[in-house]
Amino acid sequence: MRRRLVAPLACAALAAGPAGCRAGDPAAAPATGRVPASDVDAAPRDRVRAGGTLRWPLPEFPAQWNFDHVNGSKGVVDLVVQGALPFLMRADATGVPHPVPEYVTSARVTAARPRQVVTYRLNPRARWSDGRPIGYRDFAAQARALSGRDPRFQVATVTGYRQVLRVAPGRRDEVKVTFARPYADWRSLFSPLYPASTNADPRVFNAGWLNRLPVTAGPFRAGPVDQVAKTVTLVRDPAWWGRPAKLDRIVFRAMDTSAMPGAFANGEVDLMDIGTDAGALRRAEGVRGAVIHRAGGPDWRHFTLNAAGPVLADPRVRRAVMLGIDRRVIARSDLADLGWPAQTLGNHFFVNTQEGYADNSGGLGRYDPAAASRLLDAAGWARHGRYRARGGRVLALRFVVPSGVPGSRQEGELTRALLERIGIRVDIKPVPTDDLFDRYVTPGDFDIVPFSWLGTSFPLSPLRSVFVKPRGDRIQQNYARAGSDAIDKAMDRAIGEVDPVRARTLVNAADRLIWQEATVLPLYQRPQIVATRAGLANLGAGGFSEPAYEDIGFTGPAPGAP
Amino acid sequence: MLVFLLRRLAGHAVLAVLAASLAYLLAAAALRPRAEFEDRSPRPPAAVVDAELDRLNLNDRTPLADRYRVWATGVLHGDFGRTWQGDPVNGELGRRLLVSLRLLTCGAVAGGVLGVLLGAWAAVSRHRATDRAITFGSYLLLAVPVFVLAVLLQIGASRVNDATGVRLFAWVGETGPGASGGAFGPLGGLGDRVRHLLLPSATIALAQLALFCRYQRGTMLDVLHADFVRTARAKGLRRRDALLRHGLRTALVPVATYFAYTSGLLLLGAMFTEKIFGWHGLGEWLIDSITRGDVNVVAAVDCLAAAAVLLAGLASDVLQGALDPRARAGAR
Repeated sequence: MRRRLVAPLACAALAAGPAGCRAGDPAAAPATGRVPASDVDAAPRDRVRAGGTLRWPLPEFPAQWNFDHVNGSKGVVDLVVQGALPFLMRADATGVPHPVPEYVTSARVTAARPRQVVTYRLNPRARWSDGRPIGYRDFAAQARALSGRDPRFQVATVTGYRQVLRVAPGRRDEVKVTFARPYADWRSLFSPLYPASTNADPRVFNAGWLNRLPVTAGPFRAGPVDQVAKTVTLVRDPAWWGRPAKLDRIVFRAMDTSAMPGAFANGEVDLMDIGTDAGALRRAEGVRGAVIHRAGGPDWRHFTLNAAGPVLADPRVRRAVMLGIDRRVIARSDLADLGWPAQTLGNHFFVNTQEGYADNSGGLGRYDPAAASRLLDAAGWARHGRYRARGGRVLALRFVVPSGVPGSRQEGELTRALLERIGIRVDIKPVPTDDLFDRYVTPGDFDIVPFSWLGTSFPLSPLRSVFVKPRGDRIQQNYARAGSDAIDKAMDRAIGEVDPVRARTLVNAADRLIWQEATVLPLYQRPQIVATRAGLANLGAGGFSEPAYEDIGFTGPAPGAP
Repeated sequence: MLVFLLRRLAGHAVLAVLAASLAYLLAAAALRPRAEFEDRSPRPPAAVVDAELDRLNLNDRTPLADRYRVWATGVLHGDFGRTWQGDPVNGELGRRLLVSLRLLTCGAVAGGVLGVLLGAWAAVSRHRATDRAITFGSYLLLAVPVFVLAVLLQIGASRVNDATGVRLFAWVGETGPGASGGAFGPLGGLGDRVRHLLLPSATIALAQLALFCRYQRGTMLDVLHADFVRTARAKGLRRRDALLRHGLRTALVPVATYFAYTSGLLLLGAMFTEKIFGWHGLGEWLIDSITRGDVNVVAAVDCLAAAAVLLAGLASDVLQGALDPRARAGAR
């Protein structure tokens, strides 16, 4: 699970690539709440012109194009290879994954006992660009490479693949994957799928995708990689067996996020991720013909409270802090000028627009300074003048903010003003952005810290390390340093539940326990704001959904610039 | 002159080795590449992180002296190691150096020459309206940060583009995709390059111009009333000739030294211009690498900067020799 620091900038995350959705999908209807789950210019394929070049800015330029390699596991790599490599599953706008029929016609759990078996029925026409059919060998090689059992593979993660016991061919075009333990997030595996020809040998796995994409199997194949201009081009693949790609080519071009507004204004890129940068939004709105798309993104903002600190070790004080912070005020301040409604988030796993979302905050999500004061009185912190004190010690909390991130500073100021009303002094401590985690959050030298977690369609596996009970110094990513066996058990039950509906219920049960622990205060779901040139169809702010690259294209007359 | 230059060069080489070593040691001691690896999403297995850090000679659990030895041996064989992505530093260093040179040459030269001329003009017409206007303009430019200047120029240029309906200005990177495949063939490609150079060059030139204008005005004022200028006038030269041939030339000596040294630093200092205009040069690389804790890159760029500054010093010696008759006389 990655945390995101820099609030106003569009970072190198999955969200750097705005996602679209398949034409005709009823994706625009939000699952819950008022905010849209997806906002793309969905157009049927016959309205999309064949041809054209899409110019797509990237916030950084990767050298390693193997997404499973420790250096390649990045949003930008994912964004590019989605057009050229098999993704067996694609999420819709509410984060529910569905099989992609060009690769697998069905993917189901066919046995639960004695072991979980998933059967993939492959599309018989699916082929790699070197002519080999996509088959069980590719599954087996990827599962072996990412299992972590061979240390020569420099893998990014072994999550999920570690549980794979065996991969075997089934009947015609079938692949059977057997898991050692039940694994609920099996749909996250094999997306992307890399060929056995590069996954079998650790040397090729580590170095075969450096500055090139040797094998592809998608609507686009790899064009030139220009290391001077930092561009990578995908060109339409005539050998693609699905609906042919509408665009002739996609040119991905790396540039600093500060260059993107100017590039978009001058028509040198066709879309731009605005993030939560109100200045960039204003500049994009001034561009003639620009369309601004807004949808709920997968990432969420929160405050982590350090439960190992001398004051916050008492859960009553933590609850009082949560009740004393008006989350709507902070959300309104952070999201000002973005044209996005400030809606608070009541869940640690699902965001508002995601399937399975429920507001589990109970009493703690409200702003209730009277209840907070009662809790503090009960904990023995009595008012002496402006602030409360106990045993000669003033009730004071350190709010650590990364300096140079204006949003965080405001969050600190607002928290100070809000908590002062209930007699808690907040000392804002600005620290260098690069030092925030190394020197303050990881060692536990803070009381409150604001940052964002990056969300995915499979929230539980990555967020487990954030809420798992710390074992001595091994806190994983549980920066709050508190947990319980009950929470661990509830999360493990959810991870082992194969039925998606029951799994979501179990995740929410775990979330209610985490709310009671009062360690992490979710603030709001971050919006995804994307500016596109008018006439760009099937791409925009997709929420959780990933675009079908073959359907992206331009409607209307050809644009003036090449 | 040759012996003088050789002696200077040897002294400079010692300095370069010292500077490069210090740069590596500082970068290796202060930067934390491990944090960058552990922050990956999702967090990689600990064994993988250690193996990758070892492979790149970035492991903070290896003693600094050992890492330095590995790095120095590599550099002696002309190998600066690998970036955090596993790419050789050498190739990227060459590519980025050329990008930076292409970006900076026009702007720096134009800015320097224009600055000198404007500064000289301001000095000659001291306390008159021209002088005041030039002074005001150069202070204004000095006060505006480069990134603001660049964005202002972009906004102005897009007004021009909109008004004329022709894409006269383009500013992302060196070329637009597919420019040389257009109707004008390779000529179109060249035109596209020029079009992309206009704004970044203007940004660099304006920033340079303001500085040089102030320096030149100052040095020029010193020589305006110097004896040798008066002597030249007394010999019968007209004021203009006396100022150009004797005054400007002498006043150029310190400014030329300054130009040589700043051009070494300009190579790295153009990061804002590079970032805002999407050029992938050395300045951008250095800053990004420092943020990522990419020690080998930081050390390599610092080496190059040390070499550039020393070469610039050498160039300034040569220039000084050419401009200042006293230096030549002394060296002989």
